[in-house]
Amino acid sequence: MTLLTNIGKKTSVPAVHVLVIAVSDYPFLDQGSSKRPLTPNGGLGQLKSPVASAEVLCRWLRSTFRPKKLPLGSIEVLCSAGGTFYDDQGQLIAVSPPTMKNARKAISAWAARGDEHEDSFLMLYFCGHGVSSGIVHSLLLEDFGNDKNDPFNTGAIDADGLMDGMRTKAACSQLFLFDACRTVEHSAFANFGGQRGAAVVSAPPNVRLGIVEQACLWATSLGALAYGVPGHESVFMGALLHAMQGGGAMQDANDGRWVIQPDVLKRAIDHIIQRIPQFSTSGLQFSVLDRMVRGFPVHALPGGPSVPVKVQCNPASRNSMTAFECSSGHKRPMGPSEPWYLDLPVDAYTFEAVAADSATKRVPALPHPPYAIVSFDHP
Amino acid sequence: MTIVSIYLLTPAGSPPGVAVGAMWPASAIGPFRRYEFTLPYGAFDVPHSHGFESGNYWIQLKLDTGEIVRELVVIPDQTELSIYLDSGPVRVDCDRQENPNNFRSIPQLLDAAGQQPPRISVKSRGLVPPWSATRGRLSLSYGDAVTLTTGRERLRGPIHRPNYFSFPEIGDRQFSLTSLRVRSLHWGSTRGIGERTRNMPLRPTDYFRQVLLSPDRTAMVPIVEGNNVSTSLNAIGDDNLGDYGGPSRPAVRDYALLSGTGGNHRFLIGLPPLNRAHSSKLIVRADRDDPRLVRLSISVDDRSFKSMLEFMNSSDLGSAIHVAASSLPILYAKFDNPLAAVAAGYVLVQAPPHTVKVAWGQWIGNLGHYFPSLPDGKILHATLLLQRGDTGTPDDYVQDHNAYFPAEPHARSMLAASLVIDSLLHGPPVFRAGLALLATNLRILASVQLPHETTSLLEAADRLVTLLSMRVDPRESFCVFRLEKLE
Repeated sequence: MTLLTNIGKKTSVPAVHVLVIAVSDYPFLDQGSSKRPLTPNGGLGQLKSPVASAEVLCRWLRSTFRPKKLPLGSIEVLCSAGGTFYDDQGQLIAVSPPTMKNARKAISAWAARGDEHEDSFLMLYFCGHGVSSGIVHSLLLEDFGNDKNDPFNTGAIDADGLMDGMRTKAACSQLFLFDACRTVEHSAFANFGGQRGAAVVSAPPNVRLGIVEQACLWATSLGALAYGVPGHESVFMGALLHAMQGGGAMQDANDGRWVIQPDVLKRAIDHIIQRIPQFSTSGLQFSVLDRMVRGFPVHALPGGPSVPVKVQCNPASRNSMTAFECSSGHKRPMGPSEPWYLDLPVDAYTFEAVAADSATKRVPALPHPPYAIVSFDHP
Repeated sequence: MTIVSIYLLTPAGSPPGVAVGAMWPASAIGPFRRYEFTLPYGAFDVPHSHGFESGNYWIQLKLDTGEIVRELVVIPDQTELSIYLDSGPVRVDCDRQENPNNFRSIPQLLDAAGQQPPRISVKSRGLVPPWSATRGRLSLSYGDAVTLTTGRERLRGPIHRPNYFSFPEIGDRQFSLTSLRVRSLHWGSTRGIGERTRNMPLRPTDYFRQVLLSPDRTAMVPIVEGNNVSTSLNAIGDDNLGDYGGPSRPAVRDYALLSGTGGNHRFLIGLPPLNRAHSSKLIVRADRDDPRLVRLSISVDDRSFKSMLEFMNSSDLGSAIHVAASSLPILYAKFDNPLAAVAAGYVLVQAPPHTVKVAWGQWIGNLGHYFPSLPDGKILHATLLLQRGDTGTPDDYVQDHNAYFPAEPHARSMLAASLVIDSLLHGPPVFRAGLALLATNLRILASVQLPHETTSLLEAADRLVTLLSMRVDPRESFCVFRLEKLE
């Protein structure tokens, strides 16, 4: 259990409480350090992105995160070895590994903080292995497989069970970010029967359904993989923080301020992920938003949003023979075959496409979240 | 061969025009035999007589106003049948002497024509009319209703429409269906908890063995070569036509078992029960993620809740709630379409308080009480008991409301436990969302102090629900189970 913040008396007032769980080491899975590996393991092995994802998220939370009307109450982190995290005073701090025991403690403490005030906002980020079967989703912790006879109940979190349990807590706004694979088949684990994992937070009878607003953003669709970049944050985390700059924003109905909303965030993330060349044509990864009914502000932008913009020719084969220019002053010379990606504040712009074999084309555009596409059609 | 006489009844004062009537087998993709009726000015009866093989047929009338009426009719074997299509959407009086057959009730029309309704003999063939078990006399198919005369009792209600199985081409290959069976199964009615304990199957294989091995009633559906047509399949044998079972009667559920080529594609699906007014369509198509696999999905031809289903399937609860809240008739017309009512229930139990400005808790209680063939009603009722406080207290039904929603916490938990168990004893829920709610309700009940007998039963139910949840197709609104995963 590692708190990066000194929460003091912050739990007595509404606040944002964040829990980050990042698992990259799986000693009992493929290529793990344990001499007693779990077999079969379904090909699940070690991960390269979770630690970097947790680091990047914590830095962003400290430097940029502006929850609307609420102070940042706490950041708690469980992370596999290799991460660099700092406390309130900027001192390097060692964080606990994301084992089942530590996760139970951290989640219970986080849930307790969220049970103090109904205006509080809870955020959970998990990055690691995920396994799905049907509508059962398990998030694997570091010691998954330590107990060979019962790896799920002793080393995995039942995602829906956890969210059901959290619904009984006072905090009415809860955001869950699950940056994990959702492979449907895991026949390697079939001999463990119908094990979901531990819900961690119990769910007594309550009257909170319809009152507590939960939004669950999965990094990828069911049955698909969530990708990482070795040594860097995951594809989802990269897109998430990019979208937090404005792609996931909408104007608050009351005061007109730009705030990040989960449903817009999801659309922006999907667009940003498709900017990656490997993902643009294959559609490898699309996020999924679950559970949300009304939506709630996640992050308030200090000013206007920065909107992801895609400029392209139609047909795309003309991209490489066209130079693009925007009235904002941004330019891209001829050459690249992919579309031109840039981010612009909400405003009125004119885009130009200059090609050697045709007259200069101009297109007016008014980029607006979640993204804008400027297309130059060629007959 | 049956001679079918088709009459078109036009109201007095109708302008001249053209109406197009068409009639085709229910198993065919579209009209293959078309009849044109020329409408003269004024009232007129235009009979057209043709010979048809017995079976289920669609009959359609398209007026030049653009109005289309399509109904399913049964052509009995070796007899004569008269069908009346009324082009007047509103009945108005007319000069009966001039045209005595117009604007009269169906029995009057029959009497006037000196006709005796044909007697239907039911044969054990692939497609059995859903009302065949009544062994009644089919009087007439007319408008939105069919009138059945069974002895002294006359039942009147919306016509049953079939379930459809559609096997379109899948990319450059076709899903070759090797067998399709439909079974109808009586699930147990509510009994003592001890008996439930003994009867509670603990494994999905045992649970579904009741379906797989049930000798109750089975219909083998003829597979059409090429899979390019929709095959009409009626929900078989409901002995209680016009009756949804009721709280004291065992529920009947129909299941479709589909086996594809190579034995790799076996599905079990609980058909939307008792489709009195709307047909459903089961579509086999290629899996988006793995083209080697096929997916089975269900669509329902009811516009009133189709959009709601789509929002549910896309996890867009906010939009689904908006649809449900703006469709109050769905909430109250459960006897017309209980399936739509259940879908609305799933949306409403997750809606923020006061989304709907009427008390709907009582309605959920009724749904669970009066529709045992829809286990989802009991699941929703249990969900309200365990997870919501705004069940409302309609003045007219205080007594019922108190029975549905006891104030004492232990009584609420016990009732919820009973509902959860009963729902499972009536088969898996029709909607996938029901499995998720079942899992949540069981988690909640696990934290409640209950009698040991109940607790052990709930633990078994929890294992069963988990295993079912792992085998259900998470991309479908309805529960579609892959049988490979049961083995």
